Amino acid sequence: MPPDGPPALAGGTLHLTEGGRYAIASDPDRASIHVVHLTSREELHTIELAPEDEPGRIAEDAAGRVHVVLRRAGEVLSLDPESGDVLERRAVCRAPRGIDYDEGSSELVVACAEGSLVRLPAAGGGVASVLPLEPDLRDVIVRSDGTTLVSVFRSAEVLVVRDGVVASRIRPASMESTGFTPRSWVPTVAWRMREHPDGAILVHQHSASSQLGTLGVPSGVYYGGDCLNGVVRSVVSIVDVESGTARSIPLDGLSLVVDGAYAGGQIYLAAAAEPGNATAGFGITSLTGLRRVSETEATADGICIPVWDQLGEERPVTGVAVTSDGQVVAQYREPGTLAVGAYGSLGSVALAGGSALHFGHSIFHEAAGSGATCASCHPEGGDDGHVWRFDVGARRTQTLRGGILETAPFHWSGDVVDGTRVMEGTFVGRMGGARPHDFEIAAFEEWVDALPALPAPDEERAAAERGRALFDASGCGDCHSGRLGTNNQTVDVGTGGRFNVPSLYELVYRAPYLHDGRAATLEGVVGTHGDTGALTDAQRGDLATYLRTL
Amino acid sequence: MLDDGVGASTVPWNDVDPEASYLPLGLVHGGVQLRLAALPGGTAPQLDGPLVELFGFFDLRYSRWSAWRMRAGIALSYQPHSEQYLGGGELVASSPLALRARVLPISFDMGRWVGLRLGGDVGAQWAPIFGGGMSTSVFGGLTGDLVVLLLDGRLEAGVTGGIQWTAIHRTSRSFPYTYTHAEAVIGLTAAYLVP
Repeated sequence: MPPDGPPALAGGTLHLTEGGRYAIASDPDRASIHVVHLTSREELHTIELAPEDEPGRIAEDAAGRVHVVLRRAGEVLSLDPESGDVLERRAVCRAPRGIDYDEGSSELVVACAEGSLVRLPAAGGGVASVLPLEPDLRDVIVRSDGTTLVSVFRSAEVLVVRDGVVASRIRPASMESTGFTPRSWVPTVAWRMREHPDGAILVHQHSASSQLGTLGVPSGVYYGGDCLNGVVRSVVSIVDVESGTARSIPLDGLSLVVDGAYAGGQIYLAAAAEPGNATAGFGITSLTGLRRVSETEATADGICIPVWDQLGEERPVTGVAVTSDGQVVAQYREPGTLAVGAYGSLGSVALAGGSALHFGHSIFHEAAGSGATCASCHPEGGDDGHVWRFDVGARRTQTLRGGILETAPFHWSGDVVDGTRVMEGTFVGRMGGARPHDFEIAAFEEWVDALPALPAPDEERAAAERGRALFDASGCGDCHSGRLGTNNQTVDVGTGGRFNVPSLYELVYRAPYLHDGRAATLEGVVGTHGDTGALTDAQRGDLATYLRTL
Repeated sequence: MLDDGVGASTVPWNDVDPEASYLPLGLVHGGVQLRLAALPGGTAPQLDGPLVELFGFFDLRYSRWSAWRMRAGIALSYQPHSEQYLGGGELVASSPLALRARVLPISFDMGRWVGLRLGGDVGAQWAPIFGGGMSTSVFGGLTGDLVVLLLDGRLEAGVTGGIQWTAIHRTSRSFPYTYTHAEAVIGLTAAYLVP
């Protein structure tokens, strides 16, 4: 396990090779890649990595070579599954995420979070081309007709790229629901996009409620997984690329569905929430583990379907795949296990590397009494891009990465002084969890504080330098000071109240901006506060360029 | 027939000398016993074992002519324990350490070479609490030894078995508690009696 603890959950870490001989499992929690022989059910090779590599998505080329994205190392690792030999490690971009193989050009296509599609030859060698798109890219699918589909993490949009340009964008629709409180649901957080055997595109995502009501006692409970009354729910959207439409099926009672696989008219779901305990309140715990729904159920747009069909133990599953003869294979997080068949009925393989139990990581991904997890709104420790409607007004989710303890006090109001208060106010008060032990809270603080910020993209240097000068001249540094760009004070800058000065890093990934998300772009932030009202458009552009480099 | 009125009661008139037949001689003996046992059949968090135990005891023969004796003493045992995280702040840990009082009232020698010891014990065991501290609980068990008697009964070696109720502490955010779970005990034993 990496010294700072396992990285935040990303999911989608399992691949079955063509012919069904091997299962390749990325294991970021143990900094390794496992090659398992599916017939003999034994682990043949364990490729050990550096703690900061963080292996992720996997693709296979026509020659049977397997390519694994190293999310933090910024590389693609290519290996021979038969021998276990690492063939090559190649730098690709700062934050690679999705990967697919383009059979037509024999290239790997990598989607990078900082906003580009990178191509490199599958057989070896450096980057062949870079296509700049937009930040927050997640998964990539290269179709046989040459169309490239790219998902955007926090908006759940699917970009259709043809001939080097975004030809269209497909966004799952917002939904309405009734219940205790009528709610509108907007799509967020596309954990995984995969192609169905019949050509449809499935996006495993969240939907977030736009109406939360009061923040105060007693009703400030965040339900998660509950179709009608939750604040975040799991959804599978079925995208028709040709028509440019998507229909969305909410899944009742599941938290953190990070992967899916499809065969025989069934949709297999990998739910990765840690099981939580019921509170003295409603006693709701979300379902986790390996689940299944029938495709015939997932037909009516916006209608919740219960996910009762449990195919394994109720513990986090980070990857799922189906063999050519229809057997489901699930990758369990802890203990690290590969299970073949429902409940491992066809065999289980203990993955090498020991325990990856970390209390801080567990709490962050725990389905608290209401079913919501921290990761439901802070996926991978960041933010979901969502603006919530509280009784006190609109509030934008904030990121937790980059050394959060240094930015105390917390929340837009600056009313939460430390991690213990966060636990008591949010995890217990709003999410309905039982108050964790003190040693759990300490582990949680330590783990969250160690979450690294995402790397900033390259920007035009001259413009960034001009922007930096404007930043200083405009007095932005009076409040946005220090390593993280905040003096931790709660001030009124004329944006509608007193707010805790937000940090300035990872900005390219944190749109929309300001406490209520009113600014869709960094250019839009400039002029809303501080001594920036008189800046020209060009100066605003330079200042925004500088901010994007933070 | 000799009948001088002196010492007639001490003459062994039958062909079995009870005092000589049951060894070691004497009514009371002290001793120490070592047990090394497996604890089969457990499931997490009770993938425990092996058990190592030191038992300091005294033997009390019921009478000079009896093969029966009672053995009693104090046993200190250790077993590598196991822990399991169940999620939601629930953690279970089995007990590694126990101190118990043991009585083996059904203890007798079958001839010169074989001994059988049966009885039970009650005592305290300690299980770790996650985050610090140990929980203490009372527990018990049943014990049996089948041994070969060597060195004129001073050394006993053989097999040991029984059942023990091992404590499991559940650290919980809401309702921490300790419970016990039966484990089989099977292993080897050796004891030395001070003549």
